[in-house]
Amino acid sequence: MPRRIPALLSAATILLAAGCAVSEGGENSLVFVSYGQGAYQAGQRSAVLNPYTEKTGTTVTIDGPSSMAKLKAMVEAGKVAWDVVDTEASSAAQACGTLVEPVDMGPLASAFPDGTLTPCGVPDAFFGLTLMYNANVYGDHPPATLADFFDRGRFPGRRIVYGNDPSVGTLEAALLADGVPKDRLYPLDVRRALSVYDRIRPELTISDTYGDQQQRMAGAQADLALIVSARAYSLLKAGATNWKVVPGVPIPVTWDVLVVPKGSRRSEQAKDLIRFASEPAQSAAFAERAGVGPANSAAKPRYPEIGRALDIWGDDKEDLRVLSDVKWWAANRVRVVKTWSDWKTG
Amino acid sequence: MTAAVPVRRAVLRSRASWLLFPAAAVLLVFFCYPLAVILLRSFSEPAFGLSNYVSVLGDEVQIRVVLRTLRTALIITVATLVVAYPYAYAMSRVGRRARGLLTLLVLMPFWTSVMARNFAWYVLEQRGGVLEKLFDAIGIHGVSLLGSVTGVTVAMVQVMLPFMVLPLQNTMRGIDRSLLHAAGSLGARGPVAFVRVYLPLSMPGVLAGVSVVFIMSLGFYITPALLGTPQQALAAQVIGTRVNDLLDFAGAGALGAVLLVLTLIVLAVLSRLAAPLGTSTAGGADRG
Repeated sequence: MPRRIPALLSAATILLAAGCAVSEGGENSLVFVSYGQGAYQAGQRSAVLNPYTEKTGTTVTIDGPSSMAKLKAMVEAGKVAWDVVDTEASSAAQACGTLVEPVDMGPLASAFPDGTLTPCGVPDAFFGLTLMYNANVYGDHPPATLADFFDRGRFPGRRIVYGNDPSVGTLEAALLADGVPKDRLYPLDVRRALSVYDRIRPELTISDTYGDQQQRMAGAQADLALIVSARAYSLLKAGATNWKVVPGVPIPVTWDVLVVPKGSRRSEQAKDLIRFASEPAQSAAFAERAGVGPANSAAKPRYPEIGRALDIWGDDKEDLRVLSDVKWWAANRVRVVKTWSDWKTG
Repeated sequence: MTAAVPVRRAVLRSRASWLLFPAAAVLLVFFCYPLAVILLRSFSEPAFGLSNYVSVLGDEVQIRVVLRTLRTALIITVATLVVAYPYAYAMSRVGRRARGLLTLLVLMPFWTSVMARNFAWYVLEQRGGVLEKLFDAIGIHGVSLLGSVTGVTVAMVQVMLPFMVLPLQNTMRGIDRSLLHAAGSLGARGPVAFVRVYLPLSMPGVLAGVSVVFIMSLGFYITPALLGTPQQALAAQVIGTRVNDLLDFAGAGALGAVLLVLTLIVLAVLSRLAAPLGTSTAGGADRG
């Protein structure tokens, strides 16, 4: 009798493991992947997903946080539990055809800002990398240009950037500060951008998450910041009003996209949800709630007061916006991320 | 583990093997299999060969990170030992009640969530935080530990303390105090008796604690990620970057394998050191 116990136990273990495999939901439901609790995901829930459920009867579950690594693991294992994923534009463009599927947008294809829609990635939120300063520190003579961020002599103090992904305009900001004209940014001179960052390295904090960056800014652990507009918006909304936006400086613009993982069993439904999310009404409602720039050019969100200084599509930002070259980033992403991560850990 | 009567040991051994099955099954499914996959991929992608290892070992930055990880783990281990040894000694000397209290204190970190503990350190170490004010008060200005290797080390020493204290005090409680009296009667004064008699007898506990703390420090992720900065990233964070940002599963596997081999080397060296003491490195825990 004791001899059988090992076999029984092993069998039980294997059954247990099989039972734990990803649950894939029912036919009339979708899994939407965002970044976790916060204004961004809450905005998607109330402005897009709930109205979609009302309209179609499809229930949408939110999972997260979004991760291309997890998506890759799912696709490779042939067990895709995600149907629509919110991710960064260039990684979606890079993974097009291998990890994510093309999405046919039909007549909506022309609704997005020029050059931002890619075959697999449908823009849903735009961000501007915004220069901010702590007014308690520089109240008397605030910084006025991007170059001031990189000038330790004139503006001593702790700088903070988000550093987990350099494709949010981090390198573009350095090159613009160094005098590269905005129409000649690409191909990016990564070496030059890093040499600009070398100037402030001793006073630079690199945050690996946006939450960490916000936390450090709110807790006065930094004096100057380059921060994406949606995060600046929630920082200001949370009451960190000592942080001011530097007006009139160039703003590198990047965006997030919605993608459909390759092998999603409900890909047609997923694409339908993406088209729904891209309509002007939903796009505007989401932008208002999350403090992001709307993806549909016809969308006219009405931001509260604090959102206006950060509104990248505002008329006053016409000459300041510098849209990311998503094709260049998709082609060079691996190399640039590697160089950046070597630089920051080196 | 249990001190069975030696005569019955052989009997127990043959019967006991199936008791290992639950643990073995869990390890097989949730550890061995994934590990095998990771190792296989580190050799087979993008093409079969050693390319991932060449890129890890031939990359100056990766080597620097690995060395930094080893150095940090060593510093943490030494610091933990320095803090834990007197503490464990006190624990082995005091009465039952006091020992209970001391054990409670050292186990406290175990019962607190990892995140809560790390955020507590975050608040303590930040600019304008409690530690800075404390140092200010005694005349040392501008101490900001957050984002520095020192800050990470301080927090990790606290996390690691129980892993050092428990094996140490287990060993110490088993040390026969009359040996010290004997040494005294033979002319060895307190410090000499301690160094020549007590310290060597406590070595099994030291080695057990050191090996656990060092190995755990090598792979630590949350504390350095939260309290440190990418500029001082340790190996686990760099592996994280490779997986999450570069989607380079094979390269991450290679770096993980390098770390694993280093860990095994450390284990081998420590058990070599422990051999003359007549006990394995884990043996210190056996004596309670």
